Amino acid sequence: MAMDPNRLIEQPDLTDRERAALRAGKEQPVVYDVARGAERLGKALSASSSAAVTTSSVAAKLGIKLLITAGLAALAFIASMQMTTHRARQRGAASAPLRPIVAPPAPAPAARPSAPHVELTAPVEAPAREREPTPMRTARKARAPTVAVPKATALELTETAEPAEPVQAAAAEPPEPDEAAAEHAPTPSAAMLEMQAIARAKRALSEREPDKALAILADLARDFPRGYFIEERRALRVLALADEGEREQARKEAARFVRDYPSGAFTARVKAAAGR
Amino acid sequence: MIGTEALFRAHAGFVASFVFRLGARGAQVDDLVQDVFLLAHARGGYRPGAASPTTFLARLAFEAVHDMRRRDRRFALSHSEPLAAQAVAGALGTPGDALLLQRAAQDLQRALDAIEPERRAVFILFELHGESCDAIAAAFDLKVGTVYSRLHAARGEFRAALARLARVDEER
Repeated sequence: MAMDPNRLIEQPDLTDRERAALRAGKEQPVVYDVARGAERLGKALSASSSAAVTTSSVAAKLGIKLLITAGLAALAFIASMQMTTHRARQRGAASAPLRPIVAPPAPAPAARPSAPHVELTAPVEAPAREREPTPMRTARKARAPTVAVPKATALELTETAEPAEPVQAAAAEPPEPDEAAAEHAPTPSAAMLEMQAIARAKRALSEREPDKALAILADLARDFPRGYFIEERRALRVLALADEGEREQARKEAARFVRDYPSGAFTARVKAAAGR
Repeated sequence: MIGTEALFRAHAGFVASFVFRLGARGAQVDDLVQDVFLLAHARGGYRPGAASPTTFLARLAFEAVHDMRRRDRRFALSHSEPLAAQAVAGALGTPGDALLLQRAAQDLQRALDAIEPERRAVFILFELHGESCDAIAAAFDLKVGTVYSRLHAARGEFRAALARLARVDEER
């Protein structure tokens, strides 16, 4: 381990103003309500857990576990929470307790608890995939963090499973008297929109509609060029190209994929698909 | 393995401060804190290693802030907002102390804003949170030499920014 340099504040040539600024950095610049934040996070994780469903047969055949993160339902929850919070502020009721705008839960099947309690603990199982280390310098231009999904909390989409649309969820909310507030309500997060598109592409593949999957993936690449799910998008594209019979293009893109993700979770499947 | 709840309760305040220092304001701070811990949970939580829990979270926070900055053009405008240092400063002794701390906090944030984001992250972690260069390097997948060079550059930018502020004050 190399010896770190002395901290700047220890250097004798600092001006009083510099020293004061650095000392101020020891103070918390924001007061964060940990209890409320923990409650919000717990609800988000609980929502994601209760939405877990099993994978489709085609996905199983392909061996691709396009695991849509725990954040899928969680982000829907967050989006709805943002809308609630915003509206509360608009009403001048900032202290009102946060409550999610979600549709009433459907009756739970007998085999599944209707309201699973989720502890805020990390999954016991290892993440579904490990991402190659991304140099910090490339983070700005390459991508936002890609979400790897622990098996314990993963959502594997079925052919009928569609992420909860925030618009539908909002419909369960009583009519909003303040239309101006609704106009300024935050939109669903980019990550959630991207996840929904990935889910649609995967479903198209599972329904043996590779052309439709390719169109969705092309839109995705245009709308989210540096999104959360670049690796998944590229893997799906190779699979779709192979299914479409575009073997040469599939091989080219598979080669680039393997170069960029040499030990990625999808690499073996991408290779297999391109070599079919 | 540190579970998400323990990680959150121990370090949510740190993450809030870190994203604030990177430029997040208001509701952005809360949203980013949530995103960071969801990501941490999705990645299986923190595993003890060369990266400390805080540098591990800082890496996720840096990327989340970058993503938000890219998506939300208003993000960059938030820098000119007054700092929330009053709450802290008010808890100190005399009103004069509070005023001095408030000014120092404003100086700090203005100087941080002048540092390029990747260098700023290193500067915040090393200078304000006392992290080691090794822990920063491990969390951000950097060579420790790169951390040193970024720190060196960031220090120069930090001091230059404060010197500019001092000159502006003198000219008033």
